[in-house]
Amino acid sequence: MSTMRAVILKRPHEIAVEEIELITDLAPDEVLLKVELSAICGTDIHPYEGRMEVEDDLRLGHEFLGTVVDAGVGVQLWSAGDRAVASCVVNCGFCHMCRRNQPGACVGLRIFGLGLTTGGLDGGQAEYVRVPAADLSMRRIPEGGAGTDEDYLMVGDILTTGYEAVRAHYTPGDVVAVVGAGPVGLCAAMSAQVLGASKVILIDKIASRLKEAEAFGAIAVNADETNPVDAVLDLTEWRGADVVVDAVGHPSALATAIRLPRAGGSLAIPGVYNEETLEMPWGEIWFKGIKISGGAGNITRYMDEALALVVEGKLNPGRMVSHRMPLSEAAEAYRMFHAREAMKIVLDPPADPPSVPVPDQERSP
Amino acid sequence: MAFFADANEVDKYIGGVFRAAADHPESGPKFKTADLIMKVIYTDPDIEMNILMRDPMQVVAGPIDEEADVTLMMRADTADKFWRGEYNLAVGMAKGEVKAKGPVNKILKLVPLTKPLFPMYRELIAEKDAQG
Ligand SMILES: [Zn+2]
Ligand SMILES: [Zn+2]
Repeated sequence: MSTMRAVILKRPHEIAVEEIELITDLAPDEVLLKVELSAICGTDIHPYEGRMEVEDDLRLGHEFLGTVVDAGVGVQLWSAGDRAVASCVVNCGFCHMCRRNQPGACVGLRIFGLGLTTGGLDGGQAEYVRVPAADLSMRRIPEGGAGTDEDYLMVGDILTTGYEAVRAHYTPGDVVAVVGAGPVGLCAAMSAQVLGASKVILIDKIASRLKEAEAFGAIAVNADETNPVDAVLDLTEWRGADVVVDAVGHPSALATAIRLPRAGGSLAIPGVYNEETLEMPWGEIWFKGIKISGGAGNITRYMDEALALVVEGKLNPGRMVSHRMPLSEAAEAYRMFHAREAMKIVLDPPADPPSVPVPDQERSP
Repeated sequence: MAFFADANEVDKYIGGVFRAAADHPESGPKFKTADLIMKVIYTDPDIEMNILMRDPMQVVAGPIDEEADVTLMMRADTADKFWRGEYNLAVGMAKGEVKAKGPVNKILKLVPLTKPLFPMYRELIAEKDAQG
């Protein structure tokens, strides 16, 4: 039996890298991707911490990039040897919402590596991953583009997520305020810069992250030192920001973010909320007419735009990668990421010796 | 041909796995704290079931007075496949084989709790499978 290694969440806080059976039963619409890079995302921390209910022995990972090794008979765009990045969200392509170009609202939405709740797709923190609806879900990594593999990797999730949060309700010249200078927040801020925002304001409490924000021209606000609501109002002639992004996904962040949009402005919430209910300043929200959007990202709708900007070197989210580690060190990587000792960690499956035994005649020349 | 002969069989096996869920060491306590009434309208054979996820958990064949939080509609065959672990709910919803009404996030959150119950269902259904 051929095997492959995969990162498995045995139960909350317990990561193992295990040898499991190699994927061989491709459906007609699926490709088998040999994973070359796979990132740990903030969303992975929800099941890791036990904040999100998942089944035991979950194969994690929804941000990955690699080379096609096999394709189902119905796959038209892909064949062995093609390099691709996959959208972390797989949408069906034909439901009421998909046909209205809202793939994140797809009734059959599936996400890699987050369990049965989101369609039960096995994760991509592994040597190989199965990608369904491959013609819809994957994008080609061009040769000779300005992006690095770390840049392209982020197109499948956090870059496009941050990009959409700004782009979906944005008018050129807008003031964009982002709460949370983690990877998604930084992606939103760098997207706002590239899209031509007049000001990009990034709010956080961690000095090193704010420094990163300043490095590409955003105005950093340390919420420990300055009241962020006052800071945003002062920067907008007391109007408020045109576009606000809550890139955190914690009630305390939302409490700040909800007070930042101008009248008629918008609040995009790529941060994940599992809370059933929260108390909101509803009178203020109604009076200002604030547009609020959340839910899974419309990745397949926006990833082409984000990818094009990476190819031309205008967006370079790969700069956020602080650690590149072999797959075998996944447990340590998760511990570090959870402890906020790392900004963004990518796992590098080919860095470990391959787990599929090589036949003798191929081993000796 | 439908897998279940009549509504009584749906109650016995599908209702049965929900009843057994209440006593499952891991999933049971989580179902009981969900504080949720799920109505499922099964077709072919037709039967409405109400699962009251509270303590004590109750599974009622037929209508109840309380209003459900979430309502699902599917063929009883689909439920059988699901509990055997052979049915992808996301794909089923995309195809329209499973319809849901209400805050679906509350139900999807519970789906992982069903996985440890699959072996239990297979045991339950083994006697019917044997009848062939
Ligand atoms: Zn992610
Ligand atoms: Zn769809």
